[in-house]
Amino acid sequence: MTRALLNRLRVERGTALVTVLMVTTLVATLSAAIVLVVMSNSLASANHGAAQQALYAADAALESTISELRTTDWRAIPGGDASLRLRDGSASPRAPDGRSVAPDRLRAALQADSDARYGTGPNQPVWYLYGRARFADLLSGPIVPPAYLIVWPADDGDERDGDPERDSNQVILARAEAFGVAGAHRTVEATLSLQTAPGAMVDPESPPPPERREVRVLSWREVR
Amino acid sequence: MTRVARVAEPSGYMLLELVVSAAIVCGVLAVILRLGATAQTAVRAAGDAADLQQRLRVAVETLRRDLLAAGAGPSRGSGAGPLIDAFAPVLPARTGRSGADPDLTVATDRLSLLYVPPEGAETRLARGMTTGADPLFVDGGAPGCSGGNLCGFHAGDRVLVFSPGDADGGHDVFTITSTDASTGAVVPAAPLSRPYGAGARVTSIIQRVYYLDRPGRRLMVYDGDRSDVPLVDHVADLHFAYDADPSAGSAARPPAGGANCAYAAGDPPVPRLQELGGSALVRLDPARMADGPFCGGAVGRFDADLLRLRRIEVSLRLEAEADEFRGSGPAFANPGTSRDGDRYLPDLTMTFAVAPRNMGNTPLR
Repeated sequence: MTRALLNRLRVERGTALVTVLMVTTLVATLSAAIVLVVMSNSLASANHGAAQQALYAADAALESTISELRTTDWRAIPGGDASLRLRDGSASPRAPDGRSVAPDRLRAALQADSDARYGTGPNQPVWYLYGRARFADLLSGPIVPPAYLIVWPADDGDERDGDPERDSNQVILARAEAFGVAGAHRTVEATLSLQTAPGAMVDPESPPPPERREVRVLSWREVR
Repeated sequence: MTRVARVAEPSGYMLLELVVSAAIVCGVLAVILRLGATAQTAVRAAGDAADLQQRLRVAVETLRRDLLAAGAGPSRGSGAGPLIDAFAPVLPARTGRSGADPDLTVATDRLSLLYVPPEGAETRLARGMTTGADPLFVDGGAPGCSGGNLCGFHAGDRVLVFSPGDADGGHDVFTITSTDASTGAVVPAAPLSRPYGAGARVTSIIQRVYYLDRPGRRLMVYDGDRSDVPLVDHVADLHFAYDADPSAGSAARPPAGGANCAYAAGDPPVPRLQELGGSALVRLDPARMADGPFCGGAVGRFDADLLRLRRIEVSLRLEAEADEFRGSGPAFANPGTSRDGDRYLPDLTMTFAVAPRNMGNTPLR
């Protein structure tokens, strides 16, 4: 038995296989390392791009809302899915990557976050759904990044009228969220002030022109 | 044993076999090692390229985030509004407690910015200061104030104080050395440039100074106080450019009859800034950012043209970390030792522009 084994070990057949296997292992390891580096880089790049797209989509939603609010009566906080531009009738909206975007759940989380920041009481900001839509529904054009947008307004927490559903100082808060691909989610928030000024008089004989309304951004911030 | 017999023995061929087989093995090994070395270089080059791009992403993202927020002011109370309504929140120079540039410096490789953080404490002065060395007594009942008499201010916090009503754009940024909760007193680390009156805004502030450490080839970020740290290594160049609203009336206007450093008294106030022509943003050359009219007091002077900044362009040039991947020629700001295509990672340059969201919305005129 032992002699037979020794005889088999003396035979050199198969040594090339060992060499080939070693070379193959070396090349495969190095190739895997390159693939890993390239894939990680591609993933990081894609995530970064998705996050950027989501941020600018959220900012676009906020700008669109500001534009709409110029002609909106602020005395009642414009909730109840009132937006004319951000209108998506779907019952169960989803982000481009398939995530569920449940407005009720998002609103509860936003309200909890807001309560922690502003405190609770009769003047606490109460957030309402203003509008929601796909980014492609808001913008037209060949290159619109995939994103789902939601906008929430609330009365600011500095008034003392005891009614968070009504604005009495012409200052409100607006928050816009965008859900993009690959789990991207970005939020921007602004404190907005409605300002009015007399319309430009063209002819002294004609009736006075309507006052000009402008929404001024008192503060813009990215929420993280 | 005779010589013929020794030569005829089979064992005499072993040396020749050994030499031939050794030559074959050496040849095969040389090929394998060459293959391995090439593959290893490729792996390291791919890693360096990924690192180069990742460093660029980090730098761009950090700069973008701070530039977007630059100029955000208090968001609560009657004095809410962007900082640019009162003074220039972005300066082309280094500011802060250590190594600050002289006033009116215009440098293209450094930038300072200020913004009020979303969760920061906001309040106002409960009573006026007599001198700049006085402690600041903050109003514990002002909008935005939570956390007792001190509104959440702690020793070590960075704080901004300014009077929106002041016509000259004066302001101070300081670090709190101590507080007194019983009186709401906040003591600055150094005397302020001026005394501030009751009602002056007092808020938490984020200060960022981005600059290029040329000898060290590092993008640095300084918080205006003690933290002065590298953000990204192997930065070959950094350049900031500034675009402004061309309208002479683009700076925040004082009330009718009033005047400030950007407007002379009148009804309506008369702009002191020059009309730059057209309606598109205009690139400000460095000379224009230091030729007046000037705002600020004896300390903290700045050119009023900085009140109409609307966009900041950033150019970043990063290089590969290892010398062996940098060659010579215009593609490399700092030449390396690379002599072949396997080790060739040219510098990466990215130029991007950011319109700070709190610096583009002037009051209704």
